[in-house]
Amino acid sequence: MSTEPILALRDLNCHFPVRGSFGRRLGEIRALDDVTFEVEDGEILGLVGESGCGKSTLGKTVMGIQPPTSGEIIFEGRNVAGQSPKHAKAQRRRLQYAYQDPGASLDPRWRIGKSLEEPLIIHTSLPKAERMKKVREILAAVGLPAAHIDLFPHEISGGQQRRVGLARILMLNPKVVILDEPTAGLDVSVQATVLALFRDLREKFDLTYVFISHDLSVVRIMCQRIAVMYLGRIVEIGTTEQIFSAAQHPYTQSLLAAIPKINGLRVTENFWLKGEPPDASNLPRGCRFQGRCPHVQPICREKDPALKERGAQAAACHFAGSVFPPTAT
Amino acid sequence: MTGSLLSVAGLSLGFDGDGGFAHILDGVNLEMRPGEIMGLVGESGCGKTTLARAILGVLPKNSLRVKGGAISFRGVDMLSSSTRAEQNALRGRAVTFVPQDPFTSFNPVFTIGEQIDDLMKWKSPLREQTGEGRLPALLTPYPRRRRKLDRAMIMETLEAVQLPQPAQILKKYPHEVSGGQRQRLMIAMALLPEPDLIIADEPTTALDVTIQAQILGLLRKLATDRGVAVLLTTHDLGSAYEICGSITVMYAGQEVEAAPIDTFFNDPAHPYTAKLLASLPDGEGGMTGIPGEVPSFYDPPPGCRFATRCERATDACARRPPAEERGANHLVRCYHPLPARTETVKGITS
Amino acid sequence: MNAVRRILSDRAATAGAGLILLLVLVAVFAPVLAPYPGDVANFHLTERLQEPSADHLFGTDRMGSDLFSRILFGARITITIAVVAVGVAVAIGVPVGLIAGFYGGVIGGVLMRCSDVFLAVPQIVLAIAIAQTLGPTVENVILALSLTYWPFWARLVYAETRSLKNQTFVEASTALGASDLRVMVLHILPNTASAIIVRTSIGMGVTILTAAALGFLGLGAPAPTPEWGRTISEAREFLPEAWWYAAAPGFAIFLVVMGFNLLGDGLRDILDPKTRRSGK
Repeated sequence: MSTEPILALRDLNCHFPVRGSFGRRLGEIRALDDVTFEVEDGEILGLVGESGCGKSTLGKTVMGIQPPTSGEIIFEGRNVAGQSPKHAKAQRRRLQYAYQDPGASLDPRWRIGKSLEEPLIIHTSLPKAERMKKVREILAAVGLPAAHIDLFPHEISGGQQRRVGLARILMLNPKVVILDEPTAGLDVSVQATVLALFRDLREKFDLTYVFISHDLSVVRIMCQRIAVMYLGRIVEIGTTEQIFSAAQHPYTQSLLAAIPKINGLRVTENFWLKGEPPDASNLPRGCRFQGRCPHVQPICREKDPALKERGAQAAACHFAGSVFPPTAT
Repeated sequence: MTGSLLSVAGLSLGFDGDGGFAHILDGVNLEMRPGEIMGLVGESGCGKTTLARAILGVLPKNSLRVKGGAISFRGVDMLSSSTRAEQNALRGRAVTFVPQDPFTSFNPVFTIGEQIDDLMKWKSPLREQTGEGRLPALLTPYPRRRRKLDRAMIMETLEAVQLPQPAQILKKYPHEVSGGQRQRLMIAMALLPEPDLIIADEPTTALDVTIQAQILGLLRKLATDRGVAVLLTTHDLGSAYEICGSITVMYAGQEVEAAPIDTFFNDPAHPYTAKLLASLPDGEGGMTGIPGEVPSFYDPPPGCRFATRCERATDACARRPPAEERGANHLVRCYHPLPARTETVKGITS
Repeated sequence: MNAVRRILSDRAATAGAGLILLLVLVAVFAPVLAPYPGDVANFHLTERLQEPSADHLFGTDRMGSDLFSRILFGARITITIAVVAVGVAVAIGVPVGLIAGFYGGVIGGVLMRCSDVFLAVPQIVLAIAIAQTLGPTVENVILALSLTYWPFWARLVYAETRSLKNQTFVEASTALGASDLRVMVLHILPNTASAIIVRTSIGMGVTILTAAALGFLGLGAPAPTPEWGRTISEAREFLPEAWWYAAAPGFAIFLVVMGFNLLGDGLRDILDPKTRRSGK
């Protein structure tokens, strides 16, 4: 069964110039650097990385809010790179974005019913009665009472705001939903409910998720494949199983080593990753992980490694497959 | 109680606001021994930050109403207005604070060196020894000899927190250093006065996971080396596991269980603790949540505040359960605690 | 009515609204309320400059006309000038600020520089210039006022738009495919409404003061129009004996401006979406 990937990024670049006085160009921040990967229909792809890695920029560039510097974004067979949502309305309808702070994504002066109708008004020409019917349907699907239609966002709880945000996205029957840090800052007990909601909606609406998060333990249970980003580049990509049992890139290995394992050894006792990421506007030549990598060699300072594939797993390291996390002495 | 560094007994307080009286803390007990690293764990709105601030004495005075209880630190009553002078002497010196947000904790218009100097001018351990007079703040000078000794101490501490090029960092402004470096600086500034207790309020929540691992490891190492007690508030059980020796759990302003770390994770007694552990992604329960919502502080239920969401609740729970001792240093406040697990407890020690 | 209830909840707003309501009622019912409605045009030289009495509440002016009646009729002129001048200023300033703030760049730069130019022109001088060239009428006073006043709203809306543009909910609408016009008019504009309303209320007060000043200088309505500023100007030569002659219009101006200021202050506190209820 050969299926075209529903979403594919090819050599996507997003560079922001850094200007000094008088608008002189001092350098650039390569927020996205030759990002290439594919998302299969119906899967949940995890996009993992720490602050500054470019995952939020990636979400916004795919959505068209941020124009890329170059590269392609192929959604449902059509390249939508560089086209803002209002221009490519028809193409982009089925590609939606869920904000990290769902309450902030709702206009505080609009009643919820009106916010939910908005996507339908923009994209369809359905009459009011039909629109309201759909609004009620979707509200029920996310588990909210129809009475919420007349309320303002500040009158409902944070969890309910989240559901409203999701409902708004679902109004257009999207195919792919980019979830931007959906569990950041959530309490553990609430997190469990939210993830259950995502799973439920995925089944009901046959959705594909791009799950952006910095929390590897959540990504592990939700995603089938994981892509790891560091300073604008995808440094490793593979199935969840592969990443967690046999990570090839030293950065991925450090991320895994940093996760506390309750009832295991304390990871902070011998955490081996030192230092911090370099200045994003002044990246060194060669591999961008060279300053912190325990296995750095001369070639790492010369050549920036490309993603090397070994089956379904790929890592951007000259020594992928032959470097392992340093063991505790 | 002798041998106890910090003793919070039956603390009950709240704030007056537009919606009435918000009863934030209800009869909270907490004990800390010297050198102990304790985690104060709870979800958002459980009152852990309020408790930390109450110990420090930095709650807003206008709306604060203490309904009962006492906080005793090194034998000094931290709530009463008659011991105000002693409280001020201890604050910032014997008990220091590492805040949650490293970004707003520094004054942006002064260099880091200026701010640390300011701290040492008033809170250096050497200050008491040199016997300086008590002039009004603006007139008090910073004696040259002490300044040199303090500087040496500052450099030593900055190296201990693993900051690269400490001398350069002192000349920088806060926005010129990274979040991880700022948090290291906060830890250094908390250590410089040679305190007995450091209160760290969610110190790594705003940081990346790899930096968090570095900072937590650092904090534990320095605290154990110097014999400083640490009260760490967090909602992240993983972080608590990493550096704490014991944990106190809070729910809606009430402390419900206090236990050593292995017991806490493997043999919890309180239903809330068990549900919390079951919600973890790696937990055995398969990530169940807790149905229902946290009660409002304006109209809290009587007695145990978890009763409305607890399957084991009965009418008896309308009165707050007293603390019962379940094992060594294991206290739980529940009329229907979970039965003890008989299988061997795994943990750090095995 | 939700809005009425909210205004009543704030003392300043209630007081202000009360005064404004009084002004409007006086202006509308002046012919009925005035004891001597004919005195707008008539004069009775034998009764000139009489002190306030039971017959003439505010006394009489230099032509013998009842000052109280003239003040009441003067309210009409005051309201007309205030409403039209501010209305035109808002109608020009708000769209300019909205477009400049939303698009930024060259468009924003050009529009804001335009507003800077108009802001630099002193109102009184422009009013005099217009009066000289086009004639001293009420319409020209309104023209002068609105031409120099619209930049205040432009700058206000510009600043608000720029900060709102980066808010998540605006970005979310854009991500859904909303056109620029939809975002500007349906999302950004309502969220600037409270700032605009507050500024407008206070702007009314300022406009009335300036119109009175222009009337005092002889620009604007010619005699015998009972415009308040003009009345004060007439009173100059009779001070301090005929104190009522200047005090009456002065007091009227004071009340009205105070009313608008109070209303503006009160509205500032009320208009916050976080305190809005769904009114069920």
